[in-house]
Amino acid sequence: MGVNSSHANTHQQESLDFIYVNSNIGEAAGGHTALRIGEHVFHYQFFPNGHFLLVRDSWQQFFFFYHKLFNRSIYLASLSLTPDDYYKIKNHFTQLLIEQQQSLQALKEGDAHKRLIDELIHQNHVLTIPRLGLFSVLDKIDLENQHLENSIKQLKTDLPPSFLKDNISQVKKELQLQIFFLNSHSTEQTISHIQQTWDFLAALHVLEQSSLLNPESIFYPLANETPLNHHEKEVLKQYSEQLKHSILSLLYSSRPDKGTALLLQIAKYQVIILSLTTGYLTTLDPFPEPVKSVSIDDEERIILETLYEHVKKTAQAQRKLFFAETQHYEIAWSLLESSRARFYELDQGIEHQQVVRLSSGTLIPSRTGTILLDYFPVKVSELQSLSHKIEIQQHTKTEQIQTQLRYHITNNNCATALIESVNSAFKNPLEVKKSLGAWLPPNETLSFIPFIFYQKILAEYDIKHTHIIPSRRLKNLADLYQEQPDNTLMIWLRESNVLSSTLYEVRKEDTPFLFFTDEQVLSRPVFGLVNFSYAAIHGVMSLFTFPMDRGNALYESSRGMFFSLPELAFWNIRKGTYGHTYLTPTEASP
Amino acid sequence: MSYRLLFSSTLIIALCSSFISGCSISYSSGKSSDSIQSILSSSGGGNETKSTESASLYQDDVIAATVSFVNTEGTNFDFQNQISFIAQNHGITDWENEKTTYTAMGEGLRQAGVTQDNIKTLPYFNRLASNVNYSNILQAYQK
Repeated sequence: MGVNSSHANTHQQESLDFIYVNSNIGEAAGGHTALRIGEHVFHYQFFPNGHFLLVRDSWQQFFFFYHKLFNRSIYLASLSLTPDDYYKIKNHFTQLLIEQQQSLQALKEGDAHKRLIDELIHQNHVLTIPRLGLFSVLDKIDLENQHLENSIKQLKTDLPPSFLKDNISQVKKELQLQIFFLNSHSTEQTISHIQQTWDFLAALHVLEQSSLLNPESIFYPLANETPLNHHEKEVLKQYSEQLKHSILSLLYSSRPDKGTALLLQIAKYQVIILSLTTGYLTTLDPFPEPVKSVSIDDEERIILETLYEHVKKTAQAQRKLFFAETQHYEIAWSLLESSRARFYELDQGIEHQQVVRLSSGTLIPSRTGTILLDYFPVKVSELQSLSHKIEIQQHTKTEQIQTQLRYHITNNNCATALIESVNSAFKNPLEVKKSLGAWLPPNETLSFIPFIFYQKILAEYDIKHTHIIPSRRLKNLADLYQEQPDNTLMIWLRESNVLSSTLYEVRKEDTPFLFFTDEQVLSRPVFGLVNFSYAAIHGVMSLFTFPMDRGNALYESSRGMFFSLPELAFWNIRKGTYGHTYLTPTEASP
Repeated sequence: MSYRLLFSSTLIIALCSSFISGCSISYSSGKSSDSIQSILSSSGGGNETKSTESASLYQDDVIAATVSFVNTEGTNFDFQNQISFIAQNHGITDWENEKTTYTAMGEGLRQAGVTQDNIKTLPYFNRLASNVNYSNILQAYQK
């Protein structure tokens, strides 16, 4: 394979930032490390399911959570790199992220493969197909459905006569052969191929039978949603034409997964036609199956009203953005569909006291359905062995993933995993040294501690400049001092404690404490002793409320005492945090 | 002596307490019982996302996948499946009709150090040579 020099201009420099976020109680008591590459931040985080994962956030999002909500100072150390080295690191981190997502996806695919083989063994005449559940066969054809059916029929007129029937027949023959040759030695790729052929067959059937959308997979207009205006209808017409073209070209595509893509495009096409017919925006239900959900209690309902407006505004903004879109219609539609779904869930959750489904990121409609199977001759004993083999493989894969993604306080935490990922972007330690100025071994003594790790970065790498963003409260405090230079003593007295502070409101999550010690150094042990005593008094008083709150107050008091201890040794962890409810509208936007 | 003991034990406790939550627990999880936190986190902080931001991330991912495809000498089947997977993560279903796909592939081929003559010899790209999208790849490659 021939290679050339990928970047002609080697004088141009790019830079990336190593980030250290100082400690606070709660989400990251030990401080945190991350790598900022361009407008995005890569960092390793611990998830409640036990996984320790690489995450990519926008800088805005990262800043919003760590600075505005968690009130932590952010330290940045910039490293200048040649474009080749910069893109090498960026591509490496991106590829690590994709591989991580794919390995988790592979587990789900393994389950789907086993289900497919089991369904073939049992010959119970049904096969599960992702996204097929977006469609249903309706007995009653009303006016709206008539429009939908006509639009599908219209779409089919662009295909050669008998195209669908011929293709269905050909795909069935392919499937018969593929299934006939399935045996205990068949690979994952072979089973994937069979699943993808089934998906394509299902999509051809949907088109051939002009199947209509399943009403349960549609988010109909809400009572307060505005009807489509002339411009919006024109945009939707244009998008429907794009979808029509997409459906027709997917039918001829060589993409292995064209079946599942076709099913989604047909569903989107129908939901757009439905919007145009009714004059109101309708979208598909994009929540995955299964999905996490929460119930909303009465106490939360009040706070949720603030959030409700926030989510509503987001949905409205995404709607505006879609109708102003000129380039990436598919992306803009997905963003609109996802934000509308979240608003719909919250609206219905509050209105009808239902549970609210939650899922992060871009949501893609994926409701599964079943297709009736024709008879396919199978070798049952071979398939049983294959099913057993997949089960063992799944078990091994799960164990491997659990091991790979396991958090370890000294060997695999945010600092060690980050430096290991940086190092592995290069072929050997010499290359790392040449590009970054030094090679840092991931398991060097104490470098697993984020603060020490950051000091090592400063000492060893060719850092060009550093920058500190003080925590939200400290920044606001500095602004106050600047605004009122003659009043510094009063400001200090008022803002040094939680009772009179105008920059902070007491939150139970922050544990009981009286004095802020993040800006104090010399007086820290004294204030720490007061904080310890204050939490201890709370603890004694909470003994009386123990039966009512099931020991919650006592637990918080003991945490309060615990987090005051470092202050006795001139060390600060607790800084106070901010909740979503204490954000002004400007602050709520990252 | 007793002061030293107090100081050392406090330091040890401080050290332990500072690692009590490890580095950082995903803020998308928080306390699982905190539904407000969950709702806000699942909605990405409750702010709108521009399609250009998602498209830019999609582009980054396709570039990285193309570089990896060249370096690992991957197959046509795996490469297409990976592009589908990436595209879906960014809300793109028909990536074959998305121009960004091909400009990102061109950029990725350049970053991977493939010579222009060799692009046509690579799996997947050998099929594209007569396709209109090939010009988008070359345009990005030569940029």
